Amino acid sequence: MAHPGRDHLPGSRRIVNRLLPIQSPFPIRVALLLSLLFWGICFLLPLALMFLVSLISRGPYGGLEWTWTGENYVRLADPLVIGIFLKSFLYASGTTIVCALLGFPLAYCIARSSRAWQQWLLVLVMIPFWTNFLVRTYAWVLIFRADGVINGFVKFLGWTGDPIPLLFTDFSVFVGLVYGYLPFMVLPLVAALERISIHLEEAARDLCATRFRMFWHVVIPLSKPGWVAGAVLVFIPSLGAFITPYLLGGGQSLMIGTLIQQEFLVARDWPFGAALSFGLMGTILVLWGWLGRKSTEQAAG
Amino acid sequence: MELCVRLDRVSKRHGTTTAVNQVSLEIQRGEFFSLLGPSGSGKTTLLRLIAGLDFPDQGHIYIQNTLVNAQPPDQRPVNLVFQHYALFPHLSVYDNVAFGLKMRRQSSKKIQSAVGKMLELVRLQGKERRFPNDLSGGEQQRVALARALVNEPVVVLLDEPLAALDQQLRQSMHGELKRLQQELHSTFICVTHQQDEALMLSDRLAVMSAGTVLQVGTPQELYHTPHSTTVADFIGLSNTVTGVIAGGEGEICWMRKEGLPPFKVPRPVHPISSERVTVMIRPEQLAIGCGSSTSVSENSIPGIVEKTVFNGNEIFCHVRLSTDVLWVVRMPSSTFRTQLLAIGQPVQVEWLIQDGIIFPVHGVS
Repeated sequence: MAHPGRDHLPGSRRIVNRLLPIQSPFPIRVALLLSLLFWGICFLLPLALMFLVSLISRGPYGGLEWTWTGENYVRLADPLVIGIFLKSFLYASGTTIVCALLGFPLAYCIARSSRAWQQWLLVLVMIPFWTNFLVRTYAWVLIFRADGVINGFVKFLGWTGDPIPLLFTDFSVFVGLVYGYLPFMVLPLVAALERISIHLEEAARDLCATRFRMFWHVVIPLSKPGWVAGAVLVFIPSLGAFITPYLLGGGQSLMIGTLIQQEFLVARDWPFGAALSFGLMGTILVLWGWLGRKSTEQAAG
Repeated sequence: MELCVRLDRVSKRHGTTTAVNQVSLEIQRGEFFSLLGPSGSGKTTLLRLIAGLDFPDQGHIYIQNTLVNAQPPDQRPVNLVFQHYALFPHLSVYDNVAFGLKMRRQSSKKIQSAVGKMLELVRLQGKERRFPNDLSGGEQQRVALARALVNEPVVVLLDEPLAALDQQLRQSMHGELKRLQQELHSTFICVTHQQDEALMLSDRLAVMSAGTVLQVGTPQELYHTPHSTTVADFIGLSNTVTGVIAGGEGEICWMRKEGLPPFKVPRPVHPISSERVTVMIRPEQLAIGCGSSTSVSENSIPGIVEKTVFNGNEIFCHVRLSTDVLWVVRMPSSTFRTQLLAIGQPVQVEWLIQDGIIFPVHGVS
């Protein structure tokens, strides 16, 4: 017998061993199994249910009718829907780029400040999370609206014309998105920049690199893990954002998130809402796969 | 000789501590110059001031007779080899070495030939495509050297270049460093706390302590005629005894010290204000003798062997001369001597009078 002890294991252990064939102590395997179970039930199960919903028809009064159809996915090809998809991708890309441009100098300052300062600056970056996102977005409504902070200030400066339209514009949605997701760019960037030895920067300067070229050739490439993590953390949530476009964009500025929300809650067309969600997820996965392949090609070539 | 780097009363403070204090140095073209001192003596700060990574609070730095005080590092004709190499981990060996030339926008043809030549010089041909993390410590060291040397700097600055290497590798790199410096006829300024390294490699060296330069000279000058006990202690081992000068004729005086028989020391070159002096003798200038055949030019003092330390090729024999004087005698090892130097054995410690070096004792003791 190769494993004399195996036959004498109690039944529960045998089951755990079979379900999770990895080399770890038994209690750790039990904990892993429980967490897998939790994620399975709380994440995959709802997802599977929604996938089923996306394949059935809407009832006449907004209920679900269990007849199988692919029609919901066909409706994704509607130019209106495609337009909203494209616009959302544009917004999300723009948000990611602006967050990166604004986030990098901030992250660099935080990463290169002294330990004591660093803690305080990081707290400042995270303070917004202490309040509800909805409340913070309403604050932007107060800032942008016709009698809001900005227009009040402009008036104070002597402007007598009509209030500048700020709220319910593409601009206000964009500002809201950048505001909301900037910390998700800053935090991974700080972590990545902090790991770059100051000596590498000095070496670049010593080797005749100007300040700008030092950043371009050394700091930015070396902080790539931070850029990638930050871009993912900003791009994906801003793609599916719905509170910001809903509150700051009004009816004018529909994004995928708001569209999905409307299908579920206003139009009560759950199957189409579900199909929209899976369309979004599919697009992200395809994009991800394409980027991944491209970066491995780059690394190989 | 042509002056390459000149420091004129350069000072640099870090917060409240003075890292470099009124340092003046002149380094000639083609010299291998070392800054030797314990950690915290300001030698690395001095190197960074020359590189332009720090800027002096006071004083002037000249490189080839040009004042460079305010010049940023990318405009100075110097390159630094960092203590932990600071190789760019995202660039291959080739791109690391080519970095400086690329930054100076040299033509790719020129870069290719210069980098190729340099990699050959540091014996790294065939490793161009490797990344720094795949290299051994010695190879990384050579990439760091090549990366600095390929720019043909007026001065190459080295910050503890061999500190991260193991003993064996360090010895082979000694030769390598010296070879590179001589082949390229370049000026090297090297910071180290390893006195043997500094003595072996340098044409001249400066001993630093607490931000000031204590003495500048050739390795021989510093070893055999140190200006102070601090320098003597830092370079090599030294035996000292402090006593009072008492009479004597010509070039030789008598020195008295409680607990020891009077012995002869050379007359101090400069007249000494205090009568109290310290005499220093190197361990290898002492010998263990029988005391029967001492000539007039020798001293002989009785003592008792307290312990012997054997390191293979040498024996260090610790001899107690009095309650507060314990000297170390260094001699080539041999089985015969080891047997002779049993602990508790009474012996005679002998040395040539001229080998004693006199330092005045300042302050009250």
